Amino acid sequence: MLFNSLQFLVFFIVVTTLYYLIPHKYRWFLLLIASCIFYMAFVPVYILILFATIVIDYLAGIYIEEAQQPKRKMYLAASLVANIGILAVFKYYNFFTANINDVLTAAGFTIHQVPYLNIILPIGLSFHTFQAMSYTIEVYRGNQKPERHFGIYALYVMFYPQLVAGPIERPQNLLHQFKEEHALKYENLLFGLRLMLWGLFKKVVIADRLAIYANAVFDKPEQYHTLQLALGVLCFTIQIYCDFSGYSDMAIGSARTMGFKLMTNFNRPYFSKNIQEFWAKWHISLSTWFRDYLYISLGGNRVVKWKVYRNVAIVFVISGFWHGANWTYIAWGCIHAFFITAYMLAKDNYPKVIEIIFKGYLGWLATFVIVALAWVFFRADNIHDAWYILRRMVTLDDSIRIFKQVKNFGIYSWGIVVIMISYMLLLEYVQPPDLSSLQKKYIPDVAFFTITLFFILMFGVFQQASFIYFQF
Amino acid sequence: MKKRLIYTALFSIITALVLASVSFNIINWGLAHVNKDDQGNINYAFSGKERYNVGFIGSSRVYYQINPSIFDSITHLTSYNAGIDGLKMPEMEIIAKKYIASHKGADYLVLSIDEFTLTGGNSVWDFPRYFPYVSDTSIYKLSKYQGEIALAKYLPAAALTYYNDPMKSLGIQGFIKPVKKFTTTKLKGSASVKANNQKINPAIKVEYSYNESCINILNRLCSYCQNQNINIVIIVPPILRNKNTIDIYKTGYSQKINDIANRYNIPIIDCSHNAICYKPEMFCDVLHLNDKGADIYTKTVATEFMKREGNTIEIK
Repeated sequence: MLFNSLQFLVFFIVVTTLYYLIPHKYRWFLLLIASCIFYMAFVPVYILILFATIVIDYLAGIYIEEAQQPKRKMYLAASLVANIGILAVFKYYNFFTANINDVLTAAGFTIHQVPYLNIILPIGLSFHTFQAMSYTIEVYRGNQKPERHFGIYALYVMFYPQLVAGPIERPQNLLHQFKEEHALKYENLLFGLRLMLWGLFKKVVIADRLAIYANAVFDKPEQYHTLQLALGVLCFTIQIYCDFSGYSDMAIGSARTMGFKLMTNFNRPYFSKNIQEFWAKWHISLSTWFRDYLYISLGGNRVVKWKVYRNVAIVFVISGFWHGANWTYIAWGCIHAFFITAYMLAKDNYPKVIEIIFKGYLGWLATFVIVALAWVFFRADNIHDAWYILRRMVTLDDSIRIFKQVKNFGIYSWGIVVIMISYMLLLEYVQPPDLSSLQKKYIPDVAFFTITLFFILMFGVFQQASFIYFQF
Repeated sequence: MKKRLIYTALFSIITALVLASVSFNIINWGLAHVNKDDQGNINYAFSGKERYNVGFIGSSRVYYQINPSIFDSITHLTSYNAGIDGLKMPEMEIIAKKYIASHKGADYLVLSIDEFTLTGGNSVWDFPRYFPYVSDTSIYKLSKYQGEIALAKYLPAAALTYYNDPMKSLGIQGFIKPVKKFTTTKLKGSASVKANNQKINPAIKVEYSYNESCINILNRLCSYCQNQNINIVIIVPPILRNKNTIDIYKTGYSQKINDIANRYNIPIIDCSHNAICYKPEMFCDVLHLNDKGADIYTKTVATEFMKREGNTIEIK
């Protein structure tokens, strides 16, 4: 069930209405059933995988609390192995198999090939697995009491607004909210609906329109020239932001209508003036997950300098691999690892130079270009295509003369894109990421609702395109 | 806060819906006044008044593949290409009847029946192009096959969401610079060959079968034309033949076409197994000929047409 579908609109209205109509003690059950329906709308049978991780981590949480060392560690390890094992089988098995088979073929063993698994990646697997893992780690660290109510714990993993693409929540922030009684507050409804509308605008008006151009260019890069390829990369850079932050806004907004507060996932990342700042503002729930559970476990910044850089690099490479089982994602992670360690190294050794360079528009431009070029690897089908696009982009040709139009994307579409992106930038520049300052201003708020709703009706691309991050 | 939420919701929803409805009507009106693309062909079928000896009706395989100027030069007749992308039987009946009603006195109607014209699933392809004519009862009947068409009549703000960018752009162009009279010179050949720059892909093997309701519609259309004294010719376009090609001769499909042709004594020009079908260089994808292929196909159709009908043609 996609957030940008009519089906979800009906689902959302029914669930939110019922949520406030029934007594508090039954609400967890309603949300759990609703979350099951939401998840099963994709591939029903995969709910069994989700159920398996829920049971394992639920029991692990209880055992960890009750046991003493070294058993505590053993239970945590068992939980992590189970979660990572599920990821390994469903997400990475075929990737490793393909690479092993390539090596075997190169070595002349053409008959002995490792068999592939004929499976579809369960939707949002990496997200709910990471959320489940954060629970057992926090219980192990003593920051969170284990949840003994199985239904509430299941809801923590399955809560439908953030089930398939985050934000990846922490138990300290979310679990207790299921036990609190949320009275109907019109402030929450207004806040949530505003954010949902904003997310829908970013998704259907900007992201899905830019996807027409970006998909055409990335699907057949050999058909395009320097200028078109550069525009394709720019389109994807904006598309992925609007797609993912749009999803996050709708997730946070739909949870908020029922009184739940989810963590902020994006904080105007493209306004960042250096790569470190970018990562503090992009996909915050994942960045902080890696910081809390991997970077700190590796020693964080309480080790000698070169180890700090090493830890940062490891985090980014693994973060790239987290996104998908393809060398392109690993390359994307490596690029960010390189730039962020280079930036840190330079900042540690030449702080004044770095301050001058990464200040003002120059810093912003440099950061934007690095991030945009890295997206080429993220979006391209394979490393070869990514290299081709990058090479072609720096080879000047006569593409202005032979400008190839992308089907269904003419001057009208470009005009809409420019106006709509300007509208988005303006709002994001003057407003906090959750648009909360509109809450206090009546007339601007009404104008926001009216204009945004009209833009969605007038300029929305309603092809019910899936969200990019659903595949992870 | 409760009051504010209610007022905000009411004001913004009503205002946005009104604005969207106005925008829809502007685009709709504009679309009915353009003479470009296949929207122009639909408009012409409804509004044009010129008389032609031969009108070609069918899907993209008419729209892109029949070149009226070549046909005319061989047959010394006047022809019009009224092909519309993705046309299936329910639309074909409506467009044919509208064409006949507007362009009084046509001698021949050439119906292109390909592998998909009579297949199941009567959903209307690219249905928003019919929105400008939703007040027409025959077009409104298409909502039986594609419910969204009714939105244009009852909920224009929702119908607006079905227009893609090229259609909106076309509608705005039509609104700013409307075509007041659809003339021959502007439209003749507007649907001449425009090969897509696609690569040849292997055809996906499709399990398909004819739809009985489509057969009934074809029967009805043939009967209607006979009553109007209009001759019908059926053409079956070429398809790139490889091991995956959909072969209508292996299903009951071609038998059904033959039955109808025999019943109404309709000639069939079948190019689905011509030599061109085995020449990939003549195609831009599996179903569509390129410019060169289209010229050869039009010549074949014109020559066959004259062979079969040359002796009996009486120009009115």
